Amino acid sequence: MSEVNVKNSAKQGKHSPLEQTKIRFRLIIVIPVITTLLVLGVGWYMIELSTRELLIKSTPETVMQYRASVQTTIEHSTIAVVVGGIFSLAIGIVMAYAITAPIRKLTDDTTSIARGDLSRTIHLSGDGEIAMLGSAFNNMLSSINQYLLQTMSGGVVTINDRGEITSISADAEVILGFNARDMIGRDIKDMIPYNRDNRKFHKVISETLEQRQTFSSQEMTITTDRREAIPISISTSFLRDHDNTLIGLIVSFEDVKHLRKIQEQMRIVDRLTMLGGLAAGIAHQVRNPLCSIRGLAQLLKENSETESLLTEYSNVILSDVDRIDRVVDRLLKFIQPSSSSWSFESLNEIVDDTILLSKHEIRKKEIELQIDYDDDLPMILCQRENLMQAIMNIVVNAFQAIDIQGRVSIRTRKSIGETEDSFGEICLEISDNGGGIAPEDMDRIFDPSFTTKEDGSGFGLAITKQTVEIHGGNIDFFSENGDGSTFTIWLPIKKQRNGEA
Amino acid sequence: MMSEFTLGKMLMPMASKFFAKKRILIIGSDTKAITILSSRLVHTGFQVQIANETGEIYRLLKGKPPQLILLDSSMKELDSFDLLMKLRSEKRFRSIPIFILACESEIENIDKALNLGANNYIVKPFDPIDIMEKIKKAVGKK
Repeated sequence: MSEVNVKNSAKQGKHSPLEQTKIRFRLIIVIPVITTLLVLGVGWYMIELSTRELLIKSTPETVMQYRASVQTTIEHSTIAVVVGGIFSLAIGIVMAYAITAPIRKLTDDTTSIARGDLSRTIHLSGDGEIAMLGSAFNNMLSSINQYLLQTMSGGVVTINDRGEITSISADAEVILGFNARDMIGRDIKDMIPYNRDNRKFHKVISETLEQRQTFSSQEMTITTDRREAIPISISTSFLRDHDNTLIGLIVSFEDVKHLRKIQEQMRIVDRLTMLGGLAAGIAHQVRNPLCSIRGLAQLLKENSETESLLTEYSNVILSDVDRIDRVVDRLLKFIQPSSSSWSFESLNEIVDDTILLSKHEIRKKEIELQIDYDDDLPMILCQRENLMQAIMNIVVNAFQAIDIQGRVSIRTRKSIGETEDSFGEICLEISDNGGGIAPEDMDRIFDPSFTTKEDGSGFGLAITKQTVEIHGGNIDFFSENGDGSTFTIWLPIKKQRNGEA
Repeated sequence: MMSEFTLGKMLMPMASKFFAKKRILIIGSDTKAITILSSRLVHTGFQVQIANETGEIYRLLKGKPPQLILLDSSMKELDSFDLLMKLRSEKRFRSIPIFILACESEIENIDKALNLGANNYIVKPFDPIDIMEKIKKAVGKK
């Protein structure tokens, strides 16, 4: 995982406490000085004006007469100016505080956010511009939080350089079994106790912090107060600020079971992409030579005497060519599933037709077929032929799982659970009481190269899974070795444009 | 590799006098499968022309139209669907049966070929007896 630089918010954090004090100091000096100077200036001007007026308008007699009172006026004015100056100095100081306090709070908050504490919000009272700025800042912060935590797959916990938890994503809450609100601000060891079970976890954290070394996909189990031995994979990355100073760690969790499933799917997709590239070639590369082999084998057969060895050999060649061709056909169908048209169909009818087509499999066996349809099923949007093929693969497997005598039951049901584009799901269950699936095979049965049949291609269930997924559905199975297996397909009941199903 | 001679010998008994020399044009790469098929056709009493180069194809098509065209879709240099479309757009070729021989078995391809006017779509590896029956039927109808 790459390092994360918190660039924008870090700008706020660039002001050191010393610089903040400087700013405040300047304001406290500048505002009182300006107000005092203003009052003093106005006062001085007033005194000047009044004395000048008196001097101009007065005669020597009046000067003598008013001298005393002029003196008193000047004295009073001077006192008033000085007192006014002191008042304005006090008002200036108060104003400076009033302006700097919320700014200072904002700076403090943004600094700690820049340090990685994304759970912090800014509280500024009042409804002035500064309070508005604070609420805008909070909005931005919550978007960043949402974005950060949602874009990271799996759970994410961020901690600062002191090992205190600064945020926990919703997934991490689920994986670890904790509520984010209870844990933020607390030490990581409160959540994941420092004990033998969690030694590996704490080793990863401390090595990341102390040796500046990140880890990726470290598989381990961790135990918290809420959940025991959680299988997870952990990656760490650095949270740095604008100056590249380490301000914390991002610890991302992956539920290993879930991760394995994703890896498995990616592996299948990779393989399919590769096969897709070969697909075009396969048809030509294989079918052209097969065509001449078939042609020649047919000639051989026609020109040899009936019941001779040559006829026998030719028949083997012919039937094997056909077998190869069937494999090629299935392979191509799997790689390039036909994009047959979508229509609204009754699942019960599709299952009926499928059973009819698969019945040849039960000729020599005594199979009791139990069919239990839900007659109130809505129509489903599907590719009829492809869906039939998908169901047939399971039905045929069920028939083949039974040696001589047994039971296959097929049932359909509707499960409610309306979503934005579906009215819930239809569930199709096909179970047999045959030999079941061996535990070691369970992970691979949908793998296109896996087969237990001597002449199988392995594509059957892979095609089924692919088709079900194309229909927006799911497939799962349940099997206890030796005691049959049950395959369940869920298909969404998609909403039609006019709102009917 | 089987020589022409051996092939011929093997096919001789199948030659039939009952078929008038009807001409079949095979358009396709010079594959063994085509050779085997054409030998079979020849020994059944058809006259066969094989064209596998674009120039040759157009030269043969300019002449007298054949009774049936087998169009092998595995030619690299020529799109068989394009050719099919061109043929069907010309009056002289509008009613001549055209069979597509293809390696692709997808329904989309089959639909496309039939919509463009192909009379049959045969997926390789084909059964020689089956294809002969189909050819005889198509030519016989005319």
